[in-house]
Amino acid sequence: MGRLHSPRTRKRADTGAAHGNHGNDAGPGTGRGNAVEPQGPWRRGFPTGKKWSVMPMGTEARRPKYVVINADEMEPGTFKDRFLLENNPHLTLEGALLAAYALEADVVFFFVRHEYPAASALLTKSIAEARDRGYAGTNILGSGWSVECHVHESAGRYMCGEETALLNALEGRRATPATNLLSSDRGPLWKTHGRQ
Amino acid sequence: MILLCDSVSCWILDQERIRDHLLLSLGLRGLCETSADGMFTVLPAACLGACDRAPVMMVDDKLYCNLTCEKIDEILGTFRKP
Repeated sequence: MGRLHSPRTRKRADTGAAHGNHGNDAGPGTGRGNAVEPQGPWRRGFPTGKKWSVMPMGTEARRPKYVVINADEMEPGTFKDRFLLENNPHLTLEGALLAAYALEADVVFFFVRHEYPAASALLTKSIAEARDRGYAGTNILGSGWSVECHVHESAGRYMCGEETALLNALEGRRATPATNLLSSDRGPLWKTHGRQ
Repeated sequence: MILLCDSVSCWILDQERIRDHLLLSLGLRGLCETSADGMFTVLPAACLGACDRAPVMMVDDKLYCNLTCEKIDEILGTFRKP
């Protein structure tokens, strides 16, 4: 799969910790460890483990469960996502699959901005390659876990980078942001019994 | 459809001159207009994410980088060939 390692990442890989997963304290119902605040160049202001902890887990959780990757990069002067997606799409795919596995998700969506057609094409190809090798799709590596990965090309506009507006756009709605502070808690995509 | 990157990295690298040359070449008074022959519409775009190769624009799905006035002429010429 993807390789883009610094010496710090290599050390973490040797100790068995995946990207963004440095904790060994169990999250709610996960039984496989809760991701705590990531270190190094991938650090963001909001700890990954806390963000993921709002996801309902276990057999009682409503299905299907989704992981959505926000590739709607448009901040002026920023092209880190383009660089990553066009030069090492498998690394992004690997991270998404790890997240999906940790969150017991069923579907991964890559929401890619309209102006990144090369990234969309490369991600699509990477997903197909991963599926051919048994890293994505049905019964991954004989684990019993299945996840489908899809690339969604945005219709455009900056607002889609805001996560609740992104989810609205993914559902085919107008890309307006919601008032919920935690989008993971907004309820399911394509909710059939009314919107939150 | 021409999306002209209209953001900070391109501004630093002479985007305004490129923009003016593009508009002049197409006979447009400003952005968000369509050429008289109906071939080109020029829209400003939030950062196109190619700041390492600024200034940039997209024509439909293709990205053109390191733009100069000469490159603009060349690019438009390829679309106007019979």
